Amino acid sequence: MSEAVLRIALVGNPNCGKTALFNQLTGGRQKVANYAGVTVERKEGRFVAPSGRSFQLLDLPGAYSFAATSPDEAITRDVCLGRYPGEAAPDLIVCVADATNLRLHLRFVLEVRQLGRPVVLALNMMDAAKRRGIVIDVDELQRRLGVPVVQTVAVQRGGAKALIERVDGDVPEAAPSDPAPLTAAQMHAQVRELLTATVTMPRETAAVDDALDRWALHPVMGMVILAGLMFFIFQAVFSWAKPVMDGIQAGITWLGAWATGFLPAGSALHSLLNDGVFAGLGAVLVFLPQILILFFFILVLEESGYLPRAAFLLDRTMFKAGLTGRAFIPLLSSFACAIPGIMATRSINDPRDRLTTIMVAPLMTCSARLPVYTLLIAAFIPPRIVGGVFNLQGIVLFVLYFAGIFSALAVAWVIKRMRRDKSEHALIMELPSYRVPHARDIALGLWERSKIFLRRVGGIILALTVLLWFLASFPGPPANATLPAIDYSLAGRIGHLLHYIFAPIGFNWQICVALVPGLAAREVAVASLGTVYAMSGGEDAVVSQLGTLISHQWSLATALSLLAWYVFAPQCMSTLAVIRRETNSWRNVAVAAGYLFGLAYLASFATYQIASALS
Amino acid sequence: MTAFAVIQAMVIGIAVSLAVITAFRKLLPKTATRVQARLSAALNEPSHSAWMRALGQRMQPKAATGSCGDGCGSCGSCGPKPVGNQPDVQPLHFRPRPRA
Repeated sequence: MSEAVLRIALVGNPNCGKTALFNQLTGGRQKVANYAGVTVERKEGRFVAPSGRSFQLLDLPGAYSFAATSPDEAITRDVCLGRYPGEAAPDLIVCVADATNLRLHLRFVLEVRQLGRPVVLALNMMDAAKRRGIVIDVDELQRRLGVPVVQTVAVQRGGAKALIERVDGDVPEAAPSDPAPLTAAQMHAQVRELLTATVTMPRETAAVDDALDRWALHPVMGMVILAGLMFFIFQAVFSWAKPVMDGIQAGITWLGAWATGFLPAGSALHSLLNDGVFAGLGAVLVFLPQILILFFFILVLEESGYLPRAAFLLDRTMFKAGLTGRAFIPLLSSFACAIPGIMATRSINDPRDRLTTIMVAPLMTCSARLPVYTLLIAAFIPPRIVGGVFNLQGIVLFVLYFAGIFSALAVAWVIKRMRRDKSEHALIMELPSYRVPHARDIALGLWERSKIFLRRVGGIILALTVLLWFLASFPGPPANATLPAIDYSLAGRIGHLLHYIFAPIGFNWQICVALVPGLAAREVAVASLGTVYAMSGGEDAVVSQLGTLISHQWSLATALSLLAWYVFAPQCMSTLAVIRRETNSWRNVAVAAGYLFGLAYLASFATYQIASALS
Repeated sequence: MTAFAVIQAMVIGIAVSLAVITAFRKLLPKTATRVQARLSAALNEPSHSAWMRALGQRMQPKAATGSCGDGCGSCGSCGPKPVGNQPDVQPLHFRPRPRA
């Protein structure tokens, strides 16, 4: 009979390295970053110790205290207390503490010890502590706390060896708890006592952090640095990606020609491969380098610890707009995708603030918009250098991202005006130490992003492209047809019908066709445009020429109108599904979809009419 | 009808069917699971032939299997739901403010 699997829960203050430790032990690839609030769900994994013993590991959201104030902290509290539905209390709690910030983290350690369960304290980030000259008398700390203490470096290979050895031995006895619950003042006093007896710190904060923060947190210079960083990132997205994009485009064109070369030209199968698969998927695949460049910078900023500083800088602006400072991280996550962004709102304790953040999160420019933006920018905005340094295309991309942020703040402000509740919430946010990003973590993050993108291309985008090809091919044209075959197809008819609604905002019927499958995911619209134009023109080379083709067929006003549409339109069903799940209300979904589509139409109408009048 | 035309019709039929199933499962996952479970139950009727029942069992959605405590499914899905794997949903809850 096999031995029962020991259940271990990783707990600790936010940003102490729990998830990094979880990944180290289980070989998992959960997202890690250098700021608080990355993990908002309970994650589960398994690992086998060198002795052959199996362990089930739970990675829990960070918590400052068991007196939970936000939904993610409540998960940690409930799991530790054995109150989580359908889950027994863990056999062993591994309390992770940042060795460079024990003044804060030991308070929670005392709370965990108070539970009277078996506890192991993992002093994480010991490498950073040593670099800063912090000396911890581990034996004395262990003796005073009455729980085993081990040293870990979660981001280093083999950095969890001491922890594995400890949990692989006998389960420690239940931690000694104080007879009566400690008051906050008593806890602080105990922490002070422990620090005096066991920790020698040359200074409370790192000298490097102080020096960098003098600039990064400066009210004026800090904003200049933040704007400069964002500007540089969007410049890089356009300037650096070009050679690789050209390579991918050439590769797809060659592959398309080779794969369809065996089939008779004009056959349905030839059309499916050429106009459907290669024209559709090829149009989206070329944007992979730009997405990866954007994520490279996001990952570097996440790992460096700069992002909470940006939140601190923008807090005043966000507060005036009616958003809490805690909304910064969810909104920032929404730049990758609105879904994790909306889920990250669980760290916001006030339900009204949380709802406001959920409502505006889809306005943040997610990575799925990037293929649409860059396709249109590359087709209509000349790659001119402005001011001797800046790429005009990069400037337009920066403006589009800024338009998303500005509209989110404006919508939040309107919600604030409509709200009866006028309560205010202070921002309490931990500023982590700056850290040099690990090349391996960045590479893994980029690999994960590539996989997500390619899985979408090979999954939902391919499926919808094939369906669109089918709808654009059947029924076939009549014998006396004078127009391209697609005009007589089901997709063509739907496009012409929708054109009545979208004509005032300058969309042609081809765009209308692309918008329908584009409701599933924004990038699908690019693939759909590739397919629709390939079938309208019947040219073999359309795969590599979508940008050139639309630049000849569309007016600048239409292109700008479509860009304005994509700043607002909730062209993502998954986002609406997550809003339903997180708010438990169809009404909120209807409100979000209604106001976003309304804004999209109004913005496109204004853009098209103004641009048409000016040109 | 030439052999090429037959093969072409079959390939396109399979490709479009797979695309419909993929899109359905991605865009309406819960409905897709429900439909799959119903289809599986319909095929798994005792009156049906062995191959139909085998197909029905293979089609059973993963979430519907193994609802017994040990997760093996041998009890015919009559046991309690397995522990763990609870969805971590934390929906918004509004509580009316106490009147002043």
